[in-house]
Amino acid sequence: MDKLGKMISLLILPLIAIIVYSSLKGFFLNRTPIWTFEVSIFLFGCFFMLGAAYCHMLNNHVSVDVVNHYLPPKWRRIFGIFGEIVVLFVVLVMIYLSVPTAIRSTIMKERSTHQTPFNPQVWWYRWVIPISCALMSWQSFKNMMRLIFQRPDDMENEKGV
Amino acid sequence: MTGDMLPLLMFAALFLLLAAGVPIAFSLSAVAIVFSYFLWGPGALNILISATWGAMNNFVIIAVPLFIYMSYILQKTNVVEDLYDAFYKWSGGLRGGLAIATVIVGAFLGAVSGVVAAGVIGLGLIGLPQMLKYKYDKNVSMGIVMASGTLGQIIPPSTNMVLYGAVTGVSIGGLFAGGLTAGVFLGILYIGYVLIRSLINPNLCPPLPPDERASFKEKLYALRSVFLPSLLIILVLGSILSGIASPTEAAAFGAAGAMLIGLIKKRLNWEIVFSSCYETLSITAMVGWVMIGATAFGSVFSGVGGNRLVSQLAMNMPGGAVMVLIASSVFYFILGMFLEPGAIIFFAVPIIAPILARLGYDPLWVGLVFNVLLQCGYLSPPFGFSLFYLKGVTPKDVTITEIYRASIPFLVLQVACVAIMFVFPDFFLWLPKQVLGL
Amino acid sequence: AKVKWRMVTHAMPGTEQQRIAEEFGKTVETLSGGEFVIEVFPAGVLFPVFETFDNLRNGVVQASMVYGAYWPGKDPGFILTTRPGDPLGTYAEGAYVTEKLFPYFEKLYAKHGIKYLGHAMVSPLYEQLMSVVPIRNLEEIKGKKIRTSGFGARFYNALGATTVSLPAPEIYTALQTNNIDAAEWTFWDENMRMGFHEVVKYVIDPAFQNGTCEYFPLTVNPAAWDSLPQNYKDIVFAALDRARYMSAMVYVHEIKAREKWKEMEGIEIITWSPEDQKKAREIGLKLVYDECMKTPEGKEYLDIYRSALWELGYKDEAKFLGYEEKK
Ligand code: NA
Ligand code: NA
Repeated sequence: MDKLGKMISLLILPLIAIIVYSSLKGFFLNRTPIWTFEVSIFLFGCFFMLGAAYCHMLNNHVSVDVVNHYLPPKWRRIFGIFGEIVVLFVVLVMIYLSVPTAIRSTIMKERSTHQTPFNPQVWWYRWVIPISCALMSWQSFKNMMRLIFQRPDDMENEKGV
Repeated sequence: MTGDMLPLLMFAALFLLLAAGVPIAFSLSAVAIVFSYFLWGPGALNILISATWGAMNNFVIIAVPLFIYMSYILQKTNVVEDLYDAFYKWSGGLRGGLAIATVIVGAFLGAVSGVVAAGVIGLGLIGLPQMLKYKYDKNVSMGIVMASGTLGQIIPPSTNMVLYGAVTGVSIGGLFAGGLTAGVFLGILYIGYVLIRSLINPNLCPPLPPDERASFKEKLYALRSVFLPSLLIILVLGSILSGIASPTEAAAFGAAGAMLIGLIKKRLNWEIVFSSCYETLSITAMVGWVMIGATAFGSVFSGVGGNRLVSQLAMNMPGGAVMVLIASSVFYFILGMFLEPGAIIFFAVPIIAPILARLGYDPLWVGLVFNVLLQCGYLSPPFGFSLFYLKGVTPKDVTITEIYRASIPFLVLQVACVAIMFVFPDFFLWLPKQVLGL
Repeated sequence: AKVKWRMVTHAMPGTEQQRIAEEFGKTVETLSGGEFVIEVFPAGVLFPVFETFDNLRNGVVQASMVYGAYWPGKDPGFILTTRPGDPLGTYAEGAYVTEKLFPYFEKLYAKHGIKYLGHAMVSPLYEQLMSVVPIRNLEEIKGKKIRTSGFGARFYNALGATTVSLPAPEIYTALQTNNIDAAEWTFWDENMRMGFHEVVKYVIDPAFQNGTCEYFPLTVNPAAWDSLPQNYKDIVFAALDRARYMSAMVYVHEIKAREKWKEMEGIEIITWSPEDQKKAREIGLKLVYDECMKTPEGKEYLDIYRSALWELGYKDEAKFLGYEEKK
């Protein structure tokens, strides 16, 4: 997940480049490239969607840790497992919902809703949702296993992290 | 159970999940899933996918990763550090000088983008570590970052003001002008607050010890490091004002410009380029999924009539026009705690704004009050997006409770600003009237 | 209530359009004695407008009044919702052609699992183009940067302009900073709501990117529709007719707004010379013709459209589109 996440994160570089290129070309040559609007949207969407699992691995999905803070390790672990169950529930429901949408989109060879002259096909972009959720569920599953099989003293060691 | 109770039940469920430590994004989504399923059947679950697809196709929020990346680059190439060092030297014996710098940087970020996530996170990366380095009080530092980062909501350009204008017919130029007034006024309030508090408590925001203070020559020398960041601000704002870039595109100029500065200073290396990518990804994913959850939750909440319920409660307040105004302000504030501003503008404003106009209030003034109130919602515990976004970039040992505590003085200042708007409406309407030629 | 529906529109709250949709809901409720309730949601409250197509099909909502021109991504047939260069100028003409085209759109929506019940509103009058620089003729539009979308973008490209896509809330700032030279949005009243009169100096009226077209189609989820008893279906059609009457009144609303624009200092209304208007229309109609020739359905569409133009007296345009006089 670490390597994959880092690869996904590189999408930000072409995103910056494309937008700067597009507005400079539009201003100085008076010819805005037709493809940059949607390509930057694609890059951005793939970036933050596919990155969710990497973010989860780093435990960076923000939560409200008011109660957790005062709990003994055992209960913290139980709440941790509960949290992963909710995450899993959400992403599995999303997979269940997004796959039929993506299939239908693929069959109709769906094109962009932004109505640009570029008008790219977007059916493949629909698949980013289930793929991101699959990555998320894998990461969530791993986190949960770690919480379940972890010994209490490991827990203490991790506290400082 | 009557239908009216459903919105309250949704909040109860959300609070339970949040209290159990479930990540915010997934708490919001889970509540949306459960309620849409039981209220409207399995087909309605697609609201969540729609929210996701909506976020994946939203050009305006592309500004978020761009600003975050810019902030990381500036931070890692020590450009920001130099900048704050210079400020620190120049503020000499003044306590709280860096807070002034932070408010100003926040206002500039806000002048480029109206996306609060970009402002708060950007400032959290730029300003917070510097203030902490110079032993500024953590609470004050975090508070000033959240409050200043949220200023972009009212300092033009502001997407929410455009929506507000479109929904109510109030002049957008007028809202922008009033927003600028209110934004600058709030900034001054924040600065004043920090200065007064650090005057009372010398350890809150300590200045350089007298023997370490810079000579004039050193100060001049330090100015060198202000030059490039100022150039960056000119580049970004200039790209908007000159028409080269739209506000979202300008954020990309910021990111590219930051890299350019790093190159000029010979501090940019591949390690910094890449590690900034990694960290930007993690934060952006967090923000994006919170937005998805918030949209889905807001959809179901509006769908079951939550927004309408709150608006009607406000309208049925006994006590005449003033009470309706105060009650609707309070309810806007409460709605602002949980919902994305766009959802409130579309659902609550069309109900309340015409009534306030009929009661004789200046619609432009109502719009300004409303937009400042929405801004408070970002900062109000227990549920405020600015709080969560800041949590995303602070070290893990900072608890949300500390962030809550940090936000409260600034929330009070925002409410004070609203109160001042009530008492001196003409002050805030002066600039709009000049702009509109009234 | 026995039956509860949710309906979404593409309209902003507070607009005349949204009011029509809400009246439609109220009429259904009144006529059914409160037994059939349609709750109407404005744009983007339940989900982004562009998700309406899928969510109507999935049954997240049971009905919608959302501009068909949003769906060429789902099926290229929807591009013909708008017709650049279209000469129709009045509500009545627009309604006439839209009703003639009913079979085309019914089939098109049905292909994707959506039932089309007809128009609730036809665009009330010619569209406008707002600009920060003077565009007084066909020559001056060349090289200008215009915010537009859909078929309109192809049209302005054909006129030699550059087109850009911008989300609605960014148009105001883009015009203010001269990031774009011109933008099309809707008509006088809604353009004013978006504050464009504060940032543009010129309005080109008429512009030719859309033509008078169907603006507010009533579409429903087939399963929900089929499960309605006949008397409720009748009520829906009665309410739809009332909405049509109200939408004719939007014309008046727009005319009043146009007068407000005209009175504004610092705004100049530009009308192109008849020659340039004709040329612009022909460039638009040529695009419509080419688009229609691509598919058998498109050819059916063309047949209906050009016959209607002929009947209404737009004989040159009908002939330009290949209409052959019946002997
Ligand atoms: Na702003
Ligand atoms: Na809040």
